[in-house]
Amino acid sequence: MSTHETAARASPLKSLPWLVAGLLFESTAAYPWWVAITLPTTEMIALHGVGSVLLAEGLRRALPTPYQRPALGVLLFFALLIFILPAVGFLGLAFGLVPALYRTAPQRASRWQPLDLPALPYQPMVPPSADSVAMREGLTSVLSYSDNSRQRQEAILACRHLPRRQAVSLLRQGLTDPTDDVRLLAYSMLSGIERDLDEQIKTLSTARQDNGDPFGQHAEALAMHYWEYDYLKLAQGSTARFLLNQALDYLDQAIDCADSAHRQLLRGRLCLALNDDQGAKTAFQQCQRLGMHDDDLAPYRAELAFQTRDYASMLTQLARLSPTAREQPILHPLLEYWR
Amino acid sequence: MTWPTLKRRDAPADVVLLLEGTYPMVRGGVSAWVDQLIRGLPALRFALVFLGGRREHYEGILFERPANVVHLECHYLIDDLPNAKTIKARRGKKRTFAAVHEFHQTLRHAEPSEQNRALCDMARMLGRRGGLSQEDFLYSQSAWQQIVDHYLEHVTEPSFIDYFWSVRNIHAPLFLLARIAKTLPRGRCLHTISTGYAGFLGALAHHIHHRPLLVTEHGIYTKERQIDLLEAKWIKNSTDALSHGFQIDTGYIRQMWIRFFQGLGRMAYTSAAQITALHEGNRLRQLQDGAPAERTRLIPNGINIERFAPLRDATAHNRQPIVALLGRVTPIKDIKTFIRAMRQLSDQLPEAQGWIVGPTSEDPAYAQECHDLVAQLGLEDRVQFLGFQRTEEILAQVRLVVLTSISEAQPLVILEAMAAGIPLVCSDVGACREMVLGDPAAPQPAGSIVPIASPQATAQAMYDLLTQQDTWQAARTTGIARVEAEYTDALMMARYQQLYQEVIHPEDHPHRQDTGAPSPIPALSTP
Repeated sequence: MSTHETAARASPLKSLPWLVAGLLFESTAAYPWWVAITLPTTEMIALHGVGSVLLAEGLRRALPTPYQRPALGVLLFFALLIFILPAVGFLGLAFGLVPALYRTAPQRASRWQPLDLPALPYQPMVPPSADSVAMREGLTSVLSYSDNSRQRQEAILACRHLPRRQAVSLLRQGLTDPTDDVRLLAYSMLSGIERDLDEQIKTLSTARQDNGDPFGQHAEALAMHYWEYDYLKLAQGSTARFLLNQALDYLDQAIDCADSAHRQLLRGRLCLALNDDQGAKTAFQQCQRLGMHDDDLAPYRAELAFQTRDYASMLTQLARLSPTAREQPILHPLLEYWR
Repeated sequence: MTWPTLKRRDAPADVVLLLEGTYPMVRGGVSAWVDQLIRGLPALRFALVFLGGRREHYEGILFERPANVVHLECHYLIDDLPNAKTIKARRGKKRTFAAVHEFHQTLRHAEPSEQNRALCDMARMLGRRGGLSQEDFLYSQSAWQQIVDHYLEHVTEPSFIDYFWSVRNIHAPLFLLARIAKTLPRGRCLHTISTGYAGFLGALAHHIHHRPLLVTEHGIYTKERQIDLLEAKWIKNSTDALSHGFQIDTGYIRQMWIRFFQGLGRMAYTSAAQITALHEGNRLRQLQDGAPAERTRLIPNGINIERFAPLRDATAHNRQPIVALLGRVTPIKDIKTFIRAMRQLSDQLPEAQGWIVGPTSEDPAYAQECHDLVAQLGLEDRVQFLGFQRTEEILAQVRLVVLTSISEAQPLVILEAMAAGIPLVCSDVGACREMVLGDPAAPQPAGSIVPIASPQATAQAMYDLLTQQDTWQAARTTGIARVEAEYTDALMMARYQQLYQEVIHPEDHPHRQDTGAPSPIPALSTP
C-alpha cells in the first residue's frame, strides 16, 4: 500500500520551475507599481496575467494527484483567483488550499478491501433437464446412440466429473467415435489421466531416491500407482501385466521394510489381478494373521473363492460379514443374489 | 545461406506463402510439403511470411533455401509488446468503439453471412488511421468501459480479472497482423497453409491489396485449436462445490477462445478464392466450418517416387524386425501408444526393435514423458529415440513403418514408406484408411489400420505383418502400385500450377470465374 500512497502525492519539484517563472513575471509587473503607485498599465496587467497562469500551473502541479484533474478546470480556477486577487489569491491558495487538500486527500489504502471467496456459487445452478438422454439413459447411451456429435462431445466432457474408473471406460468408448472431435477430446482427457499418474510415479521415485524409504511408504505408494493403471483399465494386455508385476515388486519391497495387514491386502488384490490364486490366498492369510477385521477382508476372500469357482467357500466368506457391512450399498445386492 | 528480401524495385513474387509455425523454422510433414511445393514449381517466385509464437521457441532456419524463394520475413506474435512510452491514458474514439459494440451484437444475433461481413469489416478497421488502434484497445477509457459493460451483460462464471486479461491476450496479435498485412511483400496471389492467424493475415492482406487468396489446409486448424483449448490447463475451470455431476459447461473463457478461432477460420474461408483440402473428410469439415462449397477442391499430396524407388532392393531383403515411427515427438503423434505397443510386441517377439525418428525439440516436456515411459516399461534396450534423420536412410533399414497419430490429414510418411516398399500400420485417422486400404468397396491392404490409442491392436497388427511373410509381401506390392498410380508429385504439382494460374490469371479460366474468382463480398470492396 505504501507504493500507492507515494504515487498519490505530487512531487513539489515538478511545480517549482512554474512557480519561479510565475513569481518572476509577477515581480516584473509589480515593481513599477511599487516604485510609484499609479494606475496599472496594460503592460503590467499582461505581465500579471501571464504570471497568474504560470503560478496557477505551479500550484496545480503541487496538488495531490486526485485533485490535479480536470487540468483545464483547475488551472482556470486558480489563474482567475490569482489574477483577481493579486498576492492574496496566490498566498491563500499556496498556504491554505493546497495543504488543506493534502489533509483531505483520500487514502489509497482505504480503497482496498480484501474479500474472501464467496461461499456460495456465483450463479444460480441450472439443474440438468430430466428429459435429456444423459439423465434418462446415462452417458454410455449418449455415446452409443446419439446421432448428434455435439451431444457425444458433451457426454465426454461430463466424464470430467465422474470417478476415474467410470470415466476411463466411457473415454475408451469415445476413442472409437466416428467424429474426429469426439475422438480427440476423449483421447486428450484419457492422456491427461495417464500423465497425472506418470507424474506422481516420477515424483515418488525421485523422492525415494533422494530421501531413502526406511518404512517402505514410498514403495507402497508406487505400488498403488502402478496398480492403478490396471484398476482404471488404462493399460491392457501384457502392458497391464507388466505394470502389475512392477507394482508387486514395489509392494514386496515395502513389506520387507515393514509388514502390515493393509500391505498384505493390497498384495492379495494384485495377485488376484494377476490371476495368481495361490499368492492371493497366502496374502489374505497373512492379513488375517496381522489382525485385519473380517468386514475388510471377507469380500476379497469371497472374490478369490469365486475366481477359483469354490462357491461353498465363497458363501462361508460372505457369511462372516457383520450386519453393518451387509447393509453397505455395494455389498448388499451381491449378498441378496447369493442368499 | 542468407535468405533474400524483396526490394521495392523488384518484380512482385508470384505467390506469397503465409506460414504459421511451420516451414522454414520447424521440421515436419507440412514443412516438407511446403519445401516440396516450392522446389516442384521452379518457374514461380515465392515470398515467405513466417508467423511464430516467440523467437526463442525456434532454433533458426532449418531448410536450405530453394532458388525460387525471393523473400523471407519472420514475425513473432507473442513478442509484440507495446512500447512503454505509448502507455498513457487516452479516451478512445467513441465512434470506433460504437462500431466494435455493433460488431459484437452482429456476432451474437445476425445470420452467418452478416457475421462474415461484419468480421471482415472489423478486420479492416484494425490499426487503420481513424480505425481501432492498438493503443486505444489496450489503454483507452472507452475500451475499458466496453470490457466492463460486456462483462456485466454477458459473462457467466469467470472473474473479471480472468476475463479482462483473456480479452487482451486474445486480441493482441491481431494488431501486429494488421501491420504485417499492410507491409506484406508484393505478390500476384496469397497462399496460406492454414486458417488461424496465418489465414487471418491472408484475409486482411486480400482486402487491403486486392490480391486473390488461396487456403490450403493439411489438418483442420480450428478443430485442433478447439481440442487444445478444451483441455488447456492455463484456463481456469469453474469449481462450484455444489455443481452437479453432469456439468458439461466448458466455461466462458474456453468458449471465447474457441469462438475466436472459429471466427478467424470463417474469415479466411470467406475471403478465399479457392480452398483446398487433402481428402474428402477434411473438405466436409471445411464446409461445416463455413467454407463455401463451390470454392473448395481436393488436391491430395504426392511424392517424388524416384527418391524412394531405389530403396526397394534394400527393403526387400530386410529381415530384422525393426519398426519405425517417423514423426515429431509431440502428443498429436501419440508416441506413447507406440511405446506401449512395443511393450506388448516385445513379449511376443523379443528381438523386435522400435525406432522413434523425429525431432524432440517441439515439445520437450512430452519428449521427456516418452523417455520416462520407455524406462517405466523397461524398454530401454528395445526402443530408441534417433532424433531427426534422413528418411531414406531409415526406410532402407526397417521392415515396418508405424503411425499412431491421433489426428492426421494425409501423412507424407505413408506415401514415402509405400514408395520404398515398406508395409504400414496406421491409426484410423484422416485419409490413412483410404491410403493404406485403397477403395473401400474392394480394399487391397498396403498394411493395417488400427483404432487410435490402442496399443493392443497396434502390437497385434505389427506382430502379424512381421511374422507373416506372405502378408508382408502382398502389402508391399500393393503399396508400391498404389503410390505410383495415385500419389506422384507430378500430379500434385500440375494441380497446384493450374490452381495458381486460375487465380493469378482468372481471365484465362472463365469457367472458374463465377465460382472461384477473387470475389470480395460487396461491402468489403468499398473503402
